[in-house]
Formats: sequence, structure tokens, C-alpha cells
Amino acid sequence: MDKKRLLKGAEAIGEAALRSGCTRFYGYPVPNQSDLMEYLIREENEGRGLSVFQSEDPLSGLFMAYGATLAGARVLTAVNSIDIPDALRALSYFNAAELPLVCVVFTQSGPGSGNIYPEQSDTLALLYGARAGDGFAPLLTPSTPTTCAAATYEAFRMAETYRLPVILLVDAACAQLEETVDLSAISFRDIPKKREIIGGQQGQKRVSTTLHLDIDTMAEKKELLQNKKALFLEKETGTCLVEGEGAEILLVAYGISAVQAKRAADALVADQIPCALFQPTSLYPFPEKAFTESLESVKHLYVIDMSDGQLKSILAPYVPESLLTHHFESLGGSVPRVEDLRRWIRQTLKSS
Amino acid sequence: MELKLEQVAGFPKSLSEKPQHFCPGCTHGVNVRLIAEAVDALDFPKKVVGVCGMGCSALLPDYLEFDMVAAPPGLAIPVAEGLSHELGEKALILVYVGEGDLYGRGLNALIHAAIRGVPLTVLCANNLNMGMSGGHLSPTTLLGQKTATTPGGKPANPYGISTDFIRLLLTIPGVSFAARFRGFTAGEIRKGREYILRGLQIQKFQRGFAFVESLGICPTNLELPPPEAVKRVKTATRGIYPSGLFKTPEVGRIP
Repeated sequence: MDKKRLLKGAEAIGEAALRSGCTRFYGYPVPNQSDLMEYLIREENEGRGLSVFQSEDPLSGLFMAYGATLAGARVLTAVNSIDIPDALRALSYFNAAELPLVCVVFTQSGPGSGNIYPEQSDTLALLYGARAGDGFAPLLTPSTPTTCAAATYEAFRMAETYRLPVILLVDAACAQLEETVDLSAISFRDIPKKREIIGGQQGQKRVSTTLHLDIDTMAEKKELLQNKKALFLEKETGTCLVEGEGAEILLVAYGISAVQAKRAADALVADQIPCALFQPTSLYPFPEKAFTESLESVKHLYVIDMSDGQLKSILAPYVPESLLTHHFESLGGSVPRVEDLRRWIRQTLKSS
Repeated sequence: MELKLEQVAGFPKSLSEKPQHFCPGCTHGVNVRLIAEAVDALDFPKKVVGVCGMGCSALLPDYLEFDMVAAPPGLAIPVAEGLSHELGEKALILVYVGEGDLYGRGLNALIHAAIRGVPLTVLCANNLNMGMSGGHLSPTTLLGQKTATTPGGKPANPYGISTDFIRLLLTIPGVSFAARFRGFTAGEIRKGREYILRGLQIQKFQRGFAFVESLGICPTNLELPPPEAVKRVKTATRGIYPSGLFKTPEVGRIP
């Protein structure tokens, strides 16, 4: 296997999944998800020990994944923005049955059918939707093919370690972005293998149900899940990439807008305007400590987002009210342009 | 004179001794017993995995003594299909779902699994209403039948005329076995056990999608004593939901 490969974001996820020991993929042809599925089918035909199945609809695919996981498979699945309600329904069941799953959500513009261009307007729906019934699902937000591969490994590690569903939030631009990915930089180790399965040994009865009609039994089940969540939040504190330190200007972005924010930050530094970039690579758990630390010397906070203030509201609990916060939104499917960001930041600095 | 004793029947090994929650006179209890007896009668060693749907069938894991998965409403078939992908020939997968679940929100998955000829043995408990939810209209509710959502009797407009879903499945080549029995007459209960057993046996060599429907009664929601309910359903379903063997892998469609 080559160590360095030229891959799209969607393909990098597929390659990293294969190297993380993923054995099955369920999907339904929708934009971006198809790139991942087609890549995996090519690799399946190379005999790399993974089976791909195209289901009749996304919901069926998600619950085939549920069945296969019960029987011991390590499953990757992917949906598009418009199928998020289906994915959330499945996540709730994976949570209840304590089963591992990595679910990639490729986001596009919405609401409705919208268009196939990138937007980050489903983030809160996923962040809060995954909490239905007090469930939870880590939400990872890579921005480039390299970080997609790293996040995929992280997702499998978390999913199998804590036996829970993990969401990989990838916008349409990030899915299509191409770069040389150095896969040797990722360990692909420490993913637990063993767990109890349905249809295993003869003579032993195993049951998987998420129905607990008795109030006490359900309360016990909830307590177990609460304890698991506490353990998870204690061990996993969120990940981020921070560039530049001690600057008065801090740019915050994730996904494809972080790629653009980075380029804008580089341009501003070249203009003698020192600035830093904070890029959360997981929104749940949110890297709270790292973010609060990076705010210390900051006088101007620039939130760059492709939604109607969703990232701003995620950051709000950690941002002091006194801090001057500017919000740049790019809606309808367009990626923020570096020149626009640079001009906007310079203008707001001048006017304040 | 010496008395010779021979055991002719017993408590099925695959049936748990736990008391069942089904209402008096309900045919679910009959179906569960038939499943247990059919599984016990299998003449080849294979791990049996059961999948049940939502509604009255959702508590089956408590009553059957083999691996069981309780699936979300409408999704027992996809869950079973996923299990089948992973377990392959190692296990025999039996699905038990009510008609409200299987023919309603689960119909898409049912048809596609049938088209793909997934080696599953599906037993559908058709009791003409959505029992556990409180006796609501189901896809097989008879014309004029009173339900919680059609208190004046099911009208043809807008709900349509009762449809035999087995006839729909018979048009699909991937279906290798199809039968229906009435779970409320002694003769047909015997046949039912035979059908379930044959439906399971064809999976010895994974010979495709096997479908058995058990036509039953729901005395509670029909608001009738069980014997009355039997009489009513027997007469009302005549010609609409015929019982018998419709398709086998050996013969194909039986005219």
C-alpha cells in the first residue's frame, strides 16, 4: 500500500476506513456520498476485504448497518444533508443498543433539496439531533483530505472504544477537495476488536432490544448511558488546530471555511496584521479548554461560517460578552473567498 | 396390566416459560408456539437468529430461546438483511413482524428484500389492525371494519379496497416460498407449523426469500369474545385472504 496518495476528501475517508479495519459500507447514491461509495467499490474489487452494499433507500441502508454491526461488522455509512433525519433516527438506535458506527454526513445547501454546493447549515441539527433521548454522538469536523483521513481513524477508535455512533461532518467542498495525503502519519492502532455479537456461539442466547417497557429497567439503562457519557467526556476533550499565538485577532472556522480562513490569515500576516486561527476539528466534544486559552490575548474575534450564525452560537458559551465578535457568513453554496475575508477583516479593524 | 407410556408432545425447547403478555384469544401466542416448534423440528444444526418488529411482536425476545433482535418499526427487514450479510450461511434468520409494521412503513424494504432474494424466513402476523397501538387502521383492514381511526368502518375512499400482499409478493422472482394459514382453526394451525418449518428448511442452503403469513384475530380490538372473533374473521376474509401454499422452490408457483 502506498504511503502517499492523491485523494479527494471523500476518498481519503474511504482509504482511512479500510485501514481502520472497516469491513462493510452501506450507502445510497447521493452527491459526494457516491464518490466515497465508488472508491470503496474499486477497493473491494481489489480484494481489500470490505463489502459495499447499495441499499434501496438511505434509511434501509442505515438499519442494514445496524444488523451487520450486531453480527460483528465494523461499519461505515454515509448520508447527505437531506437524509439527516434518517441518520439521526439510526443514531438514536445505535446509541440505545450501544453499537459502534461511523456515519459520514456530507453537507450541502438547504433547507429542502437546496443545491449540491457546500454549506455548514446542518451542524446544529446534528449536534442537537444526536441528543434525542439523551443520546450523544461525537461530531468530528475535518477540513482537508488529510484531516478527513485522520478524523476517520479517530471516529473508528471512538466508536469501537465507547460503542457509540460517531458523526463525521464533511461539507461538499471538503469532500471534493484533492490533495496528497500521507497516510503513514496516522497510526490506525488502538481500535478494540472484541465485542459480544448476535448469531455467535451456538447454545448461548443473546438479545438486543431497545424497548424497555418497565420504568425501572429504562431508568437503569439511562443511568448506564449517562455514566458512559461522563466517562467519554472525561477522556475525550475535543481536538483542534491552532495556528499563531498571542495575536489580538483570532479567526475561528471549521471545514472548508477553515481552509479559506487559513489562507486569509496568511495573507493578513503578509500584510503585517498578526492574526491567529482556531480550527475546531471536533464540535462534540468541543475543545473548550484550548479555545478559552486561545482567546486570552484576543481583542477581535472573527467567526467565519457558511451558515446563519450556527458556529457563532456554538462558540457563544465560551466567549466573554466584552469581546468584539464579527461574523462572516457565506450562504447558498458559495465558499468564502480569501480576498473577501481579507477585505472584510481589514475594514472591520479600521472602523473599530 | 402394564401401562405403556409414550410422550407424544411436550413443551418446545425454543419456547421460554415466561408468561406471555398477549390478550386472551390472541393468535400471536399460537404463532410464537409454532415458531418454537418449527425451530425445534429443524433437522440441521444452524444458529437461529430471530428479528421482531414493533407492536405486539416486540416482546418476542422474552418468549423465544434463541438469539433475538428487536428492530425499530418498519425496519425489521433491513436489520435482518444486515445480519444476513454478516452471518451468511452461519445462521438462519427468522423475521416475525405484524402486518401494520411490515406492509405499512416496512413495505419498501420488504419488496426490495424479496427482489434480492435475501435468504430470510419471514412470518407476518396479519390480524387486520394495528393491535398494540390501540386497534388502528392497518394495510389489511377489511372494508367496513371498525378501527380506532375508522370508527364508522373502513371506507373504500380514501383507504382503498383490501389487498392481498402475498399476491403482490408472488409476482417477484426472488420469492422462493410463500404460504398463508389461519392461526385460529386447528387444521390450519397444523399446516402453519408445516409452512414455517418448510420456510426455515429452505434456508439450509440459503435458497432465497421465504414468506409465510398467519391470518389471525385480535379479539380485544374487534371487541368480540374470541369464538365470535374467529367466526367474524373467517367469514369476512373469505376470498380476500385465501390460505394455502402458493409457491415452493421445487414446484414454483402453485396454481
